[in-house]
Amino acid sequence: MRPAFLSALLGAILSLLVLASLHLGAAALDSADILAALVGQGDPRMVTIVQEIRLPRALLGILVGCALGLSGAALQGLLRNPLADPGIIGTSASAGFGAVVALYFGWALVFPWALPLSAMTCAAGGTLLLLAVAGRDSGTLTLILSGIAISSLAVALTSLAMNLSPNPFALSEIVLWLLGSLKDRSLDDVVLSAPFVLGGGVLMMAAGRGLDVLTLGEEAAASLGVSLRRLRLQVVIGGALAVGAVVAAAGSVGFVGLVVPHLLRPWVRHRPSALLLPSALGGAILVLAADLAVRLIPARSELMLGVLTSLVGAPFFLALILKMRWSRS
Amino acid sequence: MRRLILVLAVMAVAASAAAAPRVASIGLCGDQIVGALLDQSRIAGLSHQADDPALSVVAARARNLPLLPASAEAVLMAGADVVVANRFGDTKTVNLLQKLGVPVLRVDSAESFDQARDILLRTGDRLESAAAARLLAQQVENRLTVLRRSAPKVPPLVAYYRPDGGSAGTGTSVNAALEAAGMESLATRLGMRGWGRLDLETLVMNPPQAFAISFFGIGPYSARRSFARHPVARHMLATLPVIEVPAQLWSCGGWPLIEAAEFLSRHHHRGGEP
Repeated sequence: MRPAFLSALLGAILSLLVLASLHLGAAALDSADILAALVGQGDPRMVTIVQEIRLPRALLGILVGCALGLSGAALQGLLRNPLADPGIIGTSASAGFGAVVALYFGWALVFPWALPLSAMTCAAGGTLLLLAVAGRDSGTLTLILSGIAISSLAVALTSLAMNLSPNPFALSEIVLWLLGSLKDRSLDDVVLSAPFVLGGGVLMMAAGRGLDVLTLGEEAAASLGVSLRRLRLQVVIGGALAVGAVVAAAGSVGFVGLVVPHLLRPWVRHRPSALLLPSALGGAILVLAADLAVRLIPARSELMLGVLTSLVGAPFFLALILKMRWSRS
Repeated sequence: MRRLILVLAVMAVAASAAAAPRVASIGLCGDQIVGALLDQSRIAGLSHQADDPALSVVAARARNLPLLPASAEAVLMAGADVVVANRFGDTKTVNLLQKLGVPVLRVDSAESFDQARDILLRTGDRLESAAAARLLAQQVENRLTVLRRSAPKVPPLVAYYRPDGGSAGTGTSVNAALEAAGMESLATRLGMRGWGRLDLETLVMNPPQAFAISFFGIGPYSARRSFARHPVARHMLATLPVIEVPAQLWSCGGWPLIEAAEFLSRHHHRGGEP
């Protein structure tokens, strides 16, 4: 399938999911109500619900999915390993730790930008540590192992914060927040994270050609004039910006970056550059679909989005490992 | 003339009732105030835990009221003019509601009777039912006086425990209820401040005269039952008097603390049940 056609198809599915997302909520609104509310007509309560609650939720879902799907595709291209994911190289856990610090010390209450800034700073810090340990001329295995170590460190620090938390309510707030959710996010959250997701996205999209050349091997790529160092920095910083921003807005939503590029890869004939845009769209589709599911599954308090994506993603991860082992033996 | 005054008075009452804000609570701390102070017509909804008799003191009332998930959309659709939320949690929902112009009162879990009275009076004021709040506060005050009069001369030493081994020292709601019932908390005597853990070794070295336990009966709510399962703790709980205080009386510190204190006092007089 041509990548442009694939992207158009994914875009169409995404539009349908956005419509579904606008239709679903505690209040029963029909399509006419929603259309009217979108242009500011009709019952003011409905206008508020559609414009201020459901639309930001759908937009943030798109941002979160795009950031995670695109980062996954770019990292898998960079590491030439289908198991790479922002979660695996420690970006998500570092961002999560940064956000927990902002919540724990109450900075997030005083200054709304503290949460994304702290999450992105820690994501970038984790990633820079990764580059310092496994940056120059190291193999893929070193990079992945370093990522796992950094991820463990970030989780340990997060647990330390929870361990020392003086207040059981703050503790449950941190835990719930780490589970990931799009509930009751406002346009402020969208505005806060969008510039960073866009910036990171542009960096990663621009790495497409380098990633294509890299499929020939690191030496071949270097001999063809691709600066590996620059490529690594570009993808890793792009990923830190995008993932840090969405973790700050929605908490940890796992496995999107792993599942989506893997599902779409056969459709783009395994070309990393052709996988980037479809993975961003596919990520948005997966997150919006999961967010519809958490609203549809009947439960006393709404299921957390990250719980659902992990429930689907973790078995997928295991199946992927098994498939790789079988194809080798 | 008299009839005219009557009509005017009824109209005034009706007008004030119509103007009074409809209130939704999205947390247990709010539920116990809203459920105790307001008429059915003024309650837009209580939290989704409000009808759980193991956690909520207003469970019986909550059965006839809408229960709301803690989501901005549900609160708006319920037509709430004011929302009462716990001090912590649901941050995104509260921020969004405030942004949409719905005032949100954050209610603390009180750690003393004085704080519980302040919270009750302040919240009652903000919810335009100051008179009901004052009446309830006065009743609590009277019941406290009665309790203090019947307090034992030498306060019995009581160890408070949750199933996970958590206890309560000075400056906690549990300590306030124990004191009001004329008891001394073991954790307080050992110098603990605030909420913390009273480890088994300390308990063995400083045996209390009785236990006050809570949250033991609520199966699914207590995943961490390390204390409750330990043979040493089980032995002590089997041999010393045990007062099992219903969790809903102090799941959020507030006016129901008086009921916890009365419960403790009543069961201590009966000698507890080993």
